[in-house]
Amino acid sequence: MKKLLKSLALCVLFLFITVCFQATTYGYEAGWEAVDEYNGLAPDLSECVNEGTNFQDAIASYGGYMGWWTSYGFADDNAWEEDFKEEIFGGTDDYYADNVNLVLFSGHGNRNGFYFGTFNDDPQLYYSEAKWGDHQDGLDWIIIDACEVLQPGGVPNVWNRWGWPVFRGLHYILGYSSITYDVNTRGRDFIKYAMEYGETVREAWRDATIISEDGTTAAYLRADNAISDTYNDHLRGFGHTSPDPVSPTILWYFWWSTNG
Amino acid sequence: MKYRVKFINIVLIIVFLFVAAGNVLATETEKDKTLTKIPVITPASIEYKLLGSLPSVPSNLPTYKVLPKDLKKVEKEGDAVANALAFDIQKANKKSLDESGNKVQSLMLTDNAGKRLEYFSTGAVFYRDSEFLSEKSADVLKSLNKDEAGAKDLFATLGDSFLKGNKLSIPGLERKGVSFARAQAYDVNSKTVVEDKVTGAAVGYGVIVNQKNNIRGWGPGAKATIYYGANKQVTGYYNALRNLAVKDNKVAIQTPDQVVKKYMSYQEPKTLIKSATGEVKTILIDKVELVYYLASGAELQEEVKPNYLIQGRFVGTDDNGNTIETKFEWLEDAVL
Repeated sequence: MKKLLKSLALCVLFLFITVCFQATTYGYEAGWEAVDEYNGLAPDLSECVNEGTNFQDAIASYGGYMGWWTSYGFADDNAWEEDFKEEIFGGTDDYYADNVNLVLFSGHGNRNGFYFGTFNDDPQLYYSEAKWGDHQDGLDWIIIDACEVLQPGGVPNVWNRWGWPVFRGLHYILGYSSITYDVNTRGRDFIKYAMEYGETVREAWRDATIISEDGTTAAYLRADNAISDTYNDHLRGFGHTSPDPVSPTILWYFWWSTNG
Repeated sequence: MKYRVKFINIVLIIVFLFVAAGNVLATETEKDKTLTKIPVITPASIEYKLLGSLPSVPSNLPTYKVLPKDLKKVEKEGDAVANALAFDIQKANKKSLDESGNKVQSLMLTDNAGKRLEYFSTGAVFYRDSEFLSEKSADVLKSLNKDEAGAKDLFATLGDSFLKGNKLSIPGLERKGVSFARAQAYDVNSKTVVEDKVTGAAVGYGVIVNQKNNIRGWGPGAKATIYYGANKQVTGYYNALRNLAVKDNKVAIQTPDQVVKKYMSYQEPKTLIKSATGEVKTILIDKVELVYYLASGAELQEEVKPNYLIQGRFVGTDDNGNTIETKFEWLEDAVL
């Protein structure tokens, strides 16, 4: 009887280890890439990498118990443009940005894309090089914490830059239509509101931007179709999450000032 | 029985090893990040130009200490913000965070209607209801039957009255402007915007920290904003302004000239703004201003000191060789 109990205890222990191992490997994944050092390609920043590590720490603190974990975090020279770029354009997003549920980029940007400090394989992720959500279990939400990526007007406008065909199952692009400042708290605050307080994705981004800025204009672009409901999206495990809007029929663009 | 148990163990070990092997194979597909292709760029010498005149400033200024907010007292006794918003603290669900990210305590209160009131130990307070900056909200301009200018006037008046009537106004608070939140829907098939509406208004305020010398606060914590919905109801309120007391009455400060010289001595362009600039060749300094930096309401800041805010433009070239100008802002310590 004693031997039987001992063996059973061993079984339970193995099972526990296996489940834990699987939870950390196959739970909900996040990634981040951040650039402070631009190697002369643009002015250096100072808080982007801190924003990435704060984002990762917040995921561990507020989402670890729900199976959330950060599968990669690349800073400065290890942050590569091709990690966000579609395979057909020479990118490897299927291994990185499009292989996680949530990704944060922090660094320089403009209306055409966002910027890196190396030539892997070039310094700018141009909007036409992005197709997100098309990979199996691909990207749901991307935070592009950089200036003016979601600027609405001009030619081409925001729909024709970041709308279809970028959204291939992606739910949201969260970002700014105006300039934004170099702060290290926004990613962390987003995670806190989305995970600790169970806010929807759009509410968590709204609140994180209002707290961290004064006088800038934040924005998001989201996709929907007949079977999806991304308006009510929560980060997976923290409430209702919409099915992927694989072939979106409608895109919503929403922007607000972080002060009057 | 003895053998069956052993068999189960063996099966479990195989399952574990299978999962582990799968993970090893999965991680092997990752790239070698040490093969980074770093550009070889010889920094061009930057030409600095000071446009306009430097401000006259006092030779010394006070610094301030931040008086933290007692969240237990708020929970027990309530406060003016909860009263102004008719938010019943006693009936709300409460969740406290000992460390809201960065040595700041917070208290989140949620009522049965889903309204949220969040207090921070910095003194910041953040209220929002279900209509707060929502794309589903009714069109503000249509509901009020006003154009943007008319609606701005209305909300400016409402904002001022809200603060004054609820004793939330503080000395030095100044209205900065009114802006609108906007939602647009784009039909992918017809490639047309099928809905376009203004779903909320924000009345924004800044603060003059040192009224004697007319020096304003600057930064994410230098603001208070009231948000309105289509029915002129308050849907959100965020006030990051800290309660300050003079710490040191006279601290000697640098002259603007000293600070500009320091900025011009940098070999690389310095900015707080995350704008792609291209290669910067010329830096035009448009304005130098003495300010007090106020950190985010969710950030610990024990002391508020004067800083110089340097604003201007980077002139550079983009990938196609075109000249581009991008705005920059930079803070330098003003204290000697």
